Amino acid sequence: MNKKTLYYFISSLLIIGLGGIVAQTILLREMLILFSGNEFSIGVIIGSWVVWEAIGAFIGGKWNRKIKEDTGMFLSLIILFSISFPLSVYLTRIFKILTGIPPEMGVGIIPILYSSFFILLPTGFLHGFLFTFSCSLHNQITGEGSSSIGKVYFYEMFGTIIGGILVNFLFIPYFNSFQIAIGVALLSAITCLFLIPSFHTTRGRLALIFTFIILVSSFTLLVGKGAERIHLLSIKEQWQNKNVISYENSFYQNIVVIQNENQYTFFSDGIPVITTPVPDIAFVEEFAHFPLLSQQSPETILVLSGGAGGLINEILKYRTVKRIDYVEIDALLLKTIKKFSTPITQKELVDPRVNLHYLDGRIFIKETPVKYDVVLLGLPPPHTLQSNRFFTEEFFHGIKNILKDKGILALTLTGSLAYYSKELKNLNVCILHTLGKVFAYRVVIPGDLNLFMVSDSEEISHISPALLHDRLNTHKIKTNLISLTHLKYRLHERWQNWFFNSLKDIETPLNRDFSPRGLFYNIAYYNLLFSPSLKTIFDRAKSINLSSIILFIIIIFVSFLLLQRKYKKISIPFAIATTGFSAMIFELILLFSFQIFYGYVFYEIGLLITTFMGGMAIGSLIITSHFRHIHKELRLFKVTEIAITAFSFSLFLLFYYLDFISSFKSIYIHILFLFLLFLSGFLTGIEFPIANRIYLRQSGVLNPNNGDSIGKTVGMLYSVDLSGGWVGGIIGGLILLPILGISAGCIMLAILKLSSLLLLMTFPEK
Amino acid sequence: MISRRDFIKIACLTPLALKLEAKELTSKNSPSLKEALYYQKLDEKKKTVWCLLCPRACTLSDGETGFCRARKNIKGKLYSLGYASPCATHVDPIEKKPFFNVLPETLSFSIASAGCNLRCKFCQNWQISQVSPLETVNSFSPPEKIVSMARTNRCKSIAYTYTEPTNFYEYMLETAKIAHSKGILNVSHSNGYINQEPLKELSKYLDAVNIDLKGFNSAFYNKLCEAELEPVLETIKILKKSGVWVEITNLVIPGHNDDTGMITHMCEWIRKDVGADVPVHFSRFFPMYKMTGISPTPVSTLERAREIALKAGLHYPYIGNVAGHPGENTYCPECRKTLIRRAGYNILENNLKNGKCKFCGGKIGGIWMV
Repeated sequence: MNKKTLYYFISSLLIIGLGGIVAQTILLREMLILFSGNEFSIGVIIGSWVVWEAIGAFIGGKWNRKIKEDTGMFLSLIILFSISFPLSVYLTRIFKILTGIPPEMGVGIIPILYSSFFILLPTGFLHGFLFTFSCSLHNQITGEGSSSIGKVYFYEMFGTIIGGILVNFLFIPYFNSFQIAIGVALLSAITCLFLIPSFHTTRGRLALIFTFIILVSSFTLLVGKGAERIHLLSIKEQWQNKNVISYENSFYQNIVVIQNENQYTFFSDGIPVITTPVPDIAFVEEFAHFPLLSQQSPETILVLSGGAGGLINEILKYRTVKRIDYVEIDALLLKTIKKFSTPITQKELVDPRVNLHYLDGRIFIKETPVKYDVVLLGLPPPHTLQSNRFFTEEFFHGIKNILKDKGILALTLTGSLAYYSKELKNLNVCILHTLGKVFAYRVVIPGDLNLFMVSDSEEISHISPALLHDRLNTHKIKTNLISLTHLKYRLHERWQNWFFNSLKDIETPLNRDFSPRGLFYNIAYYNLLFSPSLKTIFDRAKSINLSSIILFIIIIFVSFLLLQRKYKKISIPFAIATTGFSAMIFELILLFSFQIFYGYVFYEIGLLITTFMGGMAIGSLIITSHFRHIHKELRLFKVTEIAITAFSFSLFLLFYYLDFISSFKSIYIHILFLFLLFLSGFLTGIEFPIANRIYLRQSGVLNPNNGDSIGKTVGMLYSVDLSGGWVGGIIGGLILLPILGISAGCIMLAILKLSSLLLLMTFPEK
Repeated sequence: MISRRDFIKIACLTPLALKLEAKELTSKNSPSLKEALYYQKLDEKKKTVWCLLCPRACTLSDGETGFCRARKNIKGKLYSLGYASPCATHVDPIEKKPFFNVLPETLSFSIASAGCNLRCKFCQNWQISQVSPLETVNSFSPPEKIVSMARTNRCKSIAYTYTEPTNFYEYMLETAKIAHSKGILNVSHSNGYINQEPLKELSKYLDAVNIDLKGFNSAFYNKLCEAELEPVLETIKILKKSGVWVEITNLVIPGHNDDTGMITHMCEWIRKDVGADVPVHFSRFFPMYKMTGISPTPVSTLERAREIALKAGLHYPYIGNVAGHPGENTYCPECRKTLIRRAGYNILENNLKNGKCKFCGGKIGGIWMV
């Protein structure tokens, strides 16, 4: 085995890492468009990938190879992966047709679970299989024994980091999913090609033929118009005969434009957001005029999202309005609207009074020197941790700071004019109470969309139909719907009484940045649409608290303690699983908290994720290269466990004394986050290779010739690691963080890691 | 001084008494049961019943609830779960139901109990239509109370709406009888999925009905509502024959029932089999319930539908959910002048006199006086 082969092998590991993250990212995005995703479905989809990786890794580890240095099998796996990726993209797009679901229909969490399970099977499974297989193969090539595991982990992680950066910054904005998938296939084929000549079996020759086929066909498809054509064809099938006139991706979202007769509808990740030329007239008129007419003479207006397509047009009717600041995080949306403009949108985007800002709304409100008469929050109710940041107490305080003395904040929330279910009540009460904590006065106009208007000035509670109508006439504004009769109907005390009466017995915690309850309530409500059978689970989950979680952890600990009698080494997999779980939650917490401080900026998020993964890669590399010098691995492992426990606890202190930390200079907080992410990745990265080594040493098979044991061990431990991460991802984002809150979440992790440390005491020392 | 024995007795009985009281409170809040009309006992031994209220014709074993979730077999008898247990009671303008040719600018006392015998994927009131009355918080409101509340709120009519009123048939029927005796009109918004016999009985007390003619082929009804078209057409014809004022709502869903051929076919059928005077509301659809990833109806599609209706000879085609559109107005079929100008539910101008056009004197179809 020469060095050249080893280098080619290592580069193929990089490509495997790259291919994995690219496939995961692209398929996740495709499925979000398919399913109109929220935080729960994101967790479930990622979870399905992770599950298949775990299964693939496990089976890959147990795979019995009779042939030595089975590079042929390795190449076949890579080829299979590179074919399955574009096929999975196609499958995602035609999935609704295959299952007979109308393309416009949303689906519940259970269909999302089994469809993501099915779609991600080939790519996830093969990727996991490749990892453990590569560990054994590396060992066979280099004879480095358990160090192979750490090294392969490092190389793949390195490839993952590069792939993650490339896919988000280079691939997605400029290429479609098929071009990306076929590009990965081409890259894989080239790498395979270099590995083949050193090999003369029948399998090798077969691999050579297939590699050439992949190479040539992917090259042709990319250079010619083939990939583009497949892409357009699959879009046509996905949207089932709708006239798709535009399909573009930005880092933030996928924007599709459908034309029907003379109407354009702009879809964001499969959900229609703006319709032109005729908007929902009732909505835009009420959302603009109720707040503006509640002001004597509105001059400066801030619109956070949702302005184009009619809302801003209504605001422009006021001659007293001198300035409208319109903030959208993604420039792509407005660029697309400009491309397919209609009279209203032309007016809106060209009027000198309108200033467009492309950045995160939370950053904008921190930085703007302007004070506003009216702020309109044009976002739908929170469906991700990210969007929840616009419905929290801290955000409302931020708005209060940029409002004039008599300024008004207005937002809409799902409502009803017939009946309030428990879930709808919880959602409304949560946001209403949070608003009430910050603003002294409020007005609710109940509707299918409830309009909430809040202010610190008493004036708002004195609005009446006559007053608003008077002002409408004074401003000489023409509207289709707003008339005295309409105002009397909408502001009738009958509706107010019914609304507050419906909600009177409900109590909920506030919606806060670090305790995103609002998100949970909205997902629980949304779940009713598609999976009402899961209602009870959400209902019970609502009352989870720290004590019940701690009790649960104790029960798990005791169960594993009992299991240890039969499976002596179980404390190691338990430690790895809990670390996998914790690592996922740390990443979620730190990324999410960073967004609270700094807002959602895509290149920052990329940097943070890279730092985390970089920590993991470097951790595993350092440990692996120092294996020679480490004799008491178990002790080192225990020390790492203590470090992770301490880390969790320090995170808890950090969030508990958040106000103190917030007073630091911005740049220091920034560095702190990067450091914490790196450290959490690093500690996770160290554990995995050590765990493998301990396990192998315990089995007395550190001998590098025993490739089977290497495979089995890494297979088992990797799948356990991933399973922990899967549970963390699904439960963490959806239930634990929104319900427990972040500080309590950190305590939970500290106790969990403490329990795994205690269990480690039972590990048999030879 | 009480004895030790008495003390223990009281200490044990008090919590028990409290528990019983709690139970009583709960049963007060739970729906009251009323034996249903229009069903047959199939098997005395097995206690199965056959519900004959709607075309679903559910056969129910003991303890089983029907497809509508609002009728239950309890020990061989069929009961209506939503009787006197409305989950929604509101005062709405009659235009909201929608009724454009019935008592404009009057209020309608609107009620509903939970449940529905269809499963439309675009239902606006899914929160109460796709659940059972046992799952909603209801107020105990016997028929007399409803009529009394209607009068207190100065409503000229009672509307049986929001969910599908067929599944609280008995409640609707009894309330309607009392309403008539007090000079209050009965209006209803229904999917039309009801059998002929109960419909004919109900028609004696109904003054106006708005039927959702959701699409004009069975494929649409099968795919999006899990139902059939024919029973709905029969219902419309029977209502008209019975002298009930009928208005039709067609929610136009892009890509599903917006086809010119289908709309033409529908308008021609209405003209021929029901009458030119039947108002048809072509309503703009917005993403709703399970249909979340769809564009709203283009206004041009609704305008086209309205043109088709006029061409087919229908007198009162309307466009709904497009506030301020001229299609919301009522025009005289004779002289074409604007009779009633509307914006949403609000009347801006009314040029009717005693049910006739102020300009040319032509009779205008509808209910213009109590």
